Amino acid sequence: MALPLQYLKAARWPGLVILIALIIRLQPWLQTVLIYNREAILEGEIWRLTTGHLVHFSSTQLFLDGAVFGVTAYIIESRRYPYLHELYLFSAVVISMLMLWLLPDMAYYGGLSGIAMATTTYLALHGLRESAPWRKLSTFVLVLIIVKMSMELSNEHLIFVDYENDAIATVSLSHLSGVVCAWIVYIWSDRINILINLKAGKLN
Amino acid sequence: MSPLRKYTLTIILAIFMVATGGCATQSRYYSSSVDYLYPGKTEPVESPTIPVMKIPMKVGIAFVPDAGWQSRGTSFWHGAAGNSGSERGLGLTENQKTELMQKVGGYFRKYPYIGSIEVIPSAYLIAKGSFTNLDQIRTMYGIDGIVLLSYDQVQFTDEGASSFLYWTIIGAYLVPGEKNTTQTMMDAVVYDIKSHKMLFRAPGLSQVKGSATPVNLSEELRKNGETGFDLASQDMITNLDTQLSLFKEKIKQAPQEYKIINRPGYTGGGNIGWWFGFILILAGTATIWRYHYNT
Repeated sequence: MALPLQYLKAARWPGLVILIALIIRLQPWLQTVLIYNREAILEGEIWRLTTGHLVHFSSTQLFLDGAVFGVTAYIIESRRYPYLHELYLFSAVVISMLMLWLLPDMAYYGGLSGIAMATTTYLALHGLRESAPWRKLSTFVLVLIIVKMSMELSNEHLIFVDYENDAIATVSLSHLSGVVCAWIVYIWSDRINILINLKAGKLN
Repeated sequence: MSPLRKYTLTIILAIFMVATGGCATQSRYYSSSVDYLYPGKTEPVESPTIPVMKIPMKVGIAFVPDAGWQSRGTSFWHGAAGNSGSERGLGLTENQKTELMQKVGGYFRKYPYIGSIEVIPSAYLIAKGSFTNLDQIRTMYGIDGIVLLSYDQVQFTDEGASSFLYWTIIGAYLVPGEKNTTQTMMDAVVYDIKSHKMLFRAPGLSQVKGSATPVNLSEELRKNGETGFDLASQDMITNLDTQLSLFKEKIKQAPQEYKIINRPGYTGGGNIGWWFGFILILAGTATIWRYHYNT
């Protein structure tokens, strides 16, 4: 059974992001060039602020981050919630900037999980406006996010991430800032919509 | 043969048989982490502070100085137990210690939160040096924690029923009437040097049984001693794995007892986590499937 075009269209962007992350995972030289590297960023290699999120330290990390991001971004695309691409870019830059500012001891960072948290939150926030079953699921996901964030913040520095070859510290700041970014874009998209509607004279 | 000569010969034979049979010896070589860390204290009382562990940790590994040897019993064939302890191979030589430390160290290296592991030569550890000595080593090697290895090996030698054949002299060369048992315990205890806090420990045990003729007894004991150390260290390494996993859980469950900080220059990563990721992937996939099915 051939997939309808609308599904392929919805999968286009999330699929591209995951594909790029996969290619980077398979090419170590790309990881060196694209990883969030604090020193390099401060020397002017600012592309790393966005590309760092596409670098993963292990296949497990890539699988989990990629799957959560892929599923949530696909649903957002297929339900046509606005400003998803703005959310990608905004959260990628804001997460990296906050890490640059607040985590001066962290030399390297990699992972799509911050953006995945942003897309998950964004999807759940939009879902609150939908009809009953969808709204209930969205509420459940938001509760889940709150639980995860509370656990991460209360166990700050205590979670070892056993990736394949290296000692990677869990950075809860990236998740927290991803959630905040989603909330900001959600509020902002609402305001923009109100302005657009006002301009068009659709609101009283 | 006159009766006197007959009696004399019988007495000599009886003395010879008693002397050559039924003897038991016991030798013990050991070192002790408690003696090293808390010398002269019958009740080691230490009030450790909360350890601040910088991840990835820099760890040293060392054998605590030998406490000595003890022996009990004598044997006609090999004299007092432990008299020739070094020849028998009881205890560990410096080479063996280094090999063992490298083996255990290599095992630690596979853990991502262990940044480096330094093998500390035994000469750097002073007998009863306590934490003062460990502080010196910490300064010299720039380590945060230390794995202190100690051992306790006891070798028992008993003469079995067949040992009465020794009186034939040739039997001493051919009959393996010396039954020996080598019991070894190795112990690895991991300390955070600054806080004096013991993080965890892992023991390893082994028992090797064998038999030998009186002539090759020392060689047999040496071999059994080495095998005993090998088996005990393997057991200790297996237990270390379990203890490291338990320690990680302990840190999560009692965060007030340990402080973990990241060493400057660390690498950070996003971690969605299995439970969170699994629920989201499952819920998301079900939603997509239902949505597509309905449309």
